[in-house]
Amino acid sequence: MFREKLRTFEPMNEMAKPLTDDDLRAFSDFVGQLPKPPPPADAGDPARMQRAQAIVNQNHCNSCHKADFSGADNVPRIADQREDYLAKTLTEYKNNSRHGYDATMADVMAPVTPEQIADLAYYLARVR
Amino acid sequence: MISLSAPRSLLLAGTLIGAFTYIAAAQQPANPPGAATTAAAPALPPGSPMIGRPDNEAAAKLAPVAPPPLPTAADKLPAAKLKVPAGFNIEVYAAGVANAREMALGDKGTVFVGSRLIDKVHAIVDKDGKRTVKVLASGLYRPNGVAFKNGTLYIAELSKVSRIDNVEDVLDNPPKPTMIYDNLPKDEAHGWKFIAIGPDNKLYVPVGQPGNNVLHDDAHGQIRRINLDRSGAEVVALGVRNTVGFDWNPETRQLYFTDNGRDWMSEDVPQDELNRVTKVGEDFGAPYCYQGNIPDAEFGWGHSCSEFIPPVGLMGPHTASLGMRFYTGNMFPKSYKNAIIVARHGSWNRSRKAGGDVVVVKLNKDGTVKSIEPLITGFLDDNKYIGRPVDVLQLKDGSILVSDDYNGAVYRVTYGKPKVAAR
Repeated sequence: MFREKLRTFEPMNEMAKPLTDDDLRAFSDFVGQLPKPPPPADAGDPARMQRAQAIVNQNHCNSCHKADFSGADNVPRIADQREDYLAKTLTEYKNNSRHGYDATMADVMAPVTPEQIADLAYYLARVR
Repeated sequence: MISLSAPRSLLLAGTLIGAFTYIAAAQQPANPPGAATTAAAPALPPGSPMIGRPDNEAAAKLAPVAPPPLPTAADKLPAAKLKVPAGFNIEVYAAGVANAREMALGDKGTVFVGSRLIDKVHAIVDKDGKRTVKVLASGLYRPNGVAFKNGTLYIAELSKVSRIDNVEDVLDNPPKPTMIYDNLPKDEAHGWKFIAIGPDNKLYVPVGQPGNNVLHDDAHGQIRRINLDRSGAEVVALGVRNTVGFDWNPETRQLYFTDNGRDWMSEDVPQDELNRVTKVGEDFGAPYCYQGNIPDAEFGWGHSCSEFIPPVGLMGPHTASLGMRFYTGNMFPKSYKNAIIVARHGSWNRSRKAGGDVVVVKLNKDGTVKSIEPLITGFLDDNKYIGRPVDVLQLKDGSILVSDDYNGAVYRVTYGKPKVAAR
């Protein structure tokens, strides 16, 4: 995505430039082998966690990402990823600036408000 | 929407976070948790594939299948697992054509390939048996559709059509495509396009319905055609949910198109349609009537299937029948002449996946369907995809190409003793 400039962040675009498809496959395989991120010690504010759970239910996130948000096949694990990363990604899906993927996430995020994105990122970063 | 999602929220809230539910219920006795949930998030957007999903565990497992982000390496392609009838051969024609979708053939043999998830149109150049894959255009938005006529390549993005003139002379230094038509909706759902130029020398451009099963305005759910000088746009067919493949019968010059049936009605119906346009402006039923004989449970009220043109063929439930072309070559056995070759991308909205193959639809003299037989199978392995066919394209020698967006590859099917071709 960085190599093709479908995602733009100049240092990454520059670094990815010389990588071949084989390089990227090897790199992805390596990253895929890394242990899953552990949930943080902070269990989160119960009210906020519950609010986010309701948003998760409403938008059927578990359909693709599984009940424990571990993902499957080409659907990513989102459980316990970094909160800022989750919020940025969800926001980019919502404003359709995150290209190179199926449109499903852009559709899913259309009605989700920025406040709800903050709650979702908070929740997913702490889910266990 | 609300009535569907509320019970589901209740159920999940009850099983997953029972403790929290109790607290919430204690604090807000007048508001059941489901009502709170509904207020917290508005309904699903009209384009969401989750609309209409029944509230049960089997349905909850189904979702559109996302392909890998990179094309599969040439030596990892599943060509050896693909099966063709006796006498046919299948080989890899080109690898590294990321997210390969619709294909078009240039006069000088260049194969142009659109994409849906990336921003590129590729050109496969065959020079003295040595094939190279070049990026012809990039920075495009869902450039799924490609068509070629008189030296010009037409490219259809999500909401516009553009052209590159004398494209085969500028493959090494292609100019930016020139926009010719953009009076098109911008919906993501069913917004990507298959395009083709008819025997009337007009460009045919579909506009899908903007969601699984929705009422919509006059700009959606149709196939349009425009003159190549961009004038004279007119609607050719209505009640089209989402066609991603069409071609003209070489004998009758009638337009045939595949149309994908709605999701979530049931595992086994409706089937995808193979339709035939005999008169400009015919209505093929969606979203009121599916497969010619099933009134939609929601929108069918007040309508009868008899108001609409029934399909000439049924292509299987949720099989995603996409690219189709009439076979006019001389390489395949005689029974294939003027038959339709259809790529079925394969279902997502079905527990036991269906499709994921290329089939041959043989027609009767009157243009109705005589039989549907497999041509390439094996894309579906143990209910999982190892590849997904999108479009078919006949080469001058009568062999056919098949694009696979899952692996970013193009295969070639020949008939007869396999020639030892230079790879």
